[in-house]
Amino acid sequence: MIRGITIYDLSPDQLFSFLKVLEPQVYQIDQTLIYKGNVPNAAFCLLSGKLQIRKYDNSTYPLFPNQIIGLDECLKHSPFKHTLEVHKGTKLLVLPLSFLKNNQLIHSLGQTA
Amino acid sequence: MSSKMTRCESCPSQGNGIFCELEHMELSDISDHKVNNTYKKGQVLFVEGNPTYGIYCVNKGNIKITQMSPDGKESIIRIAQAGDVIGHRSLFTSKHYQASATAIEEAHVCFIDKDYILKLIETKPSVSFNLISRLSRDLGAAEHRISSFSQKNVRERLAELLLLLKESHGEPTEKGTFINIKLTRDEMASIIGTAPETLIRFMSEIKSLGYIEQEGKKIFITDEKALIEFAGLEY
Repeated sequence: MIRGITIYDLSPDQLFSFLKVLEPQVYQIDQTLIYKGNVPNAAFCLLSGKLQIRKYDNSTYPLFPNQIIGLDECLKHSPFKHTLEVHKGTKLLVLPLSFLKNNQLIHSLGQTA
Repeated sequence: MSSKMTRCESCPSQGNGIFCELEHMELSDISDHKVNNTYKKGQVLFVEGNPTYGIYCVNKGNIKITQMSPDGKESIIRIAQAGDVIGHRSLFTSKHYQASATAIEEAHVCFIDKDYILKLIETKPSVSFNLISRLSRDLGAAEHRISSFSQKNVRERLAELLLLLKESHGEPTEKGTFINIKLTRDEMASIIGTAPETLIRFMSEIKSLGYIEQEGKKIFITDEKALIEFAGLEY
């Protein structure tokens, strides 16, 4: 866990249940998904490619496949402590707020909507 | 700790947005399903070519909407201001954003995800109607711009741009109408499809005619009627 940010690891069964309802999204261009201090528009689950956290000192930390980030902050409307960047060619599951609020599995990850 | 959230019921853009006809409880439900953020100058809301997953409502500030040409040149296609919705066209037409959106000054923006907004469109006719009105307005502006590019010279397009900015961002002052938006000369040149040097030259020309005044980067329109004639528009 990176200090101040909770990253959840999905089991294969959990990932499969998400994939049944969410379509993977491929990012064609490098983009900042979450700016430091902003509330995430969604939570993101890395499927393949490069998703990284950039800290205030410019150091970067990659996420690994099947990890979800931004979940707590999106549900609680709290600011993200660092910056999240996605790189070209990365495949993500985007979990928007309305999905997070209505999905039972999210509760099993330890969160309340 | 939660960040301070702007509620739809107390939004500074209420009256200009697409949700304004909704009841208090409905606005409250939207507030519970949206994310609001402050974007600093230069921060990007979404990028052309990347997946769409919602729309943005501008509460305050200005956002430039741009498209990239094959040779890597960025063109500004419009400026979104308070009350405007952005990213909505891509929601219906494509799985990817058709343009990029970048804050040109500090901007307060709300994000509503695709699933929720599509459900709202299905169930609330006023939201559908307002979105259709916005799309029609945007289409009209785009058609006018195409026509302007083919029929007007650069001077006339510049005069027209100043008048448009006066309508959207003008504030009356003693000196004339102050255009209260921070656009660089490069950005203004991009909007009218010319080089920055040409724009600067024609700005000086319009200024020498007494139609505008400049104080540093600030622009004041001092003779609107003459500028309208100069732009080849009907008064």
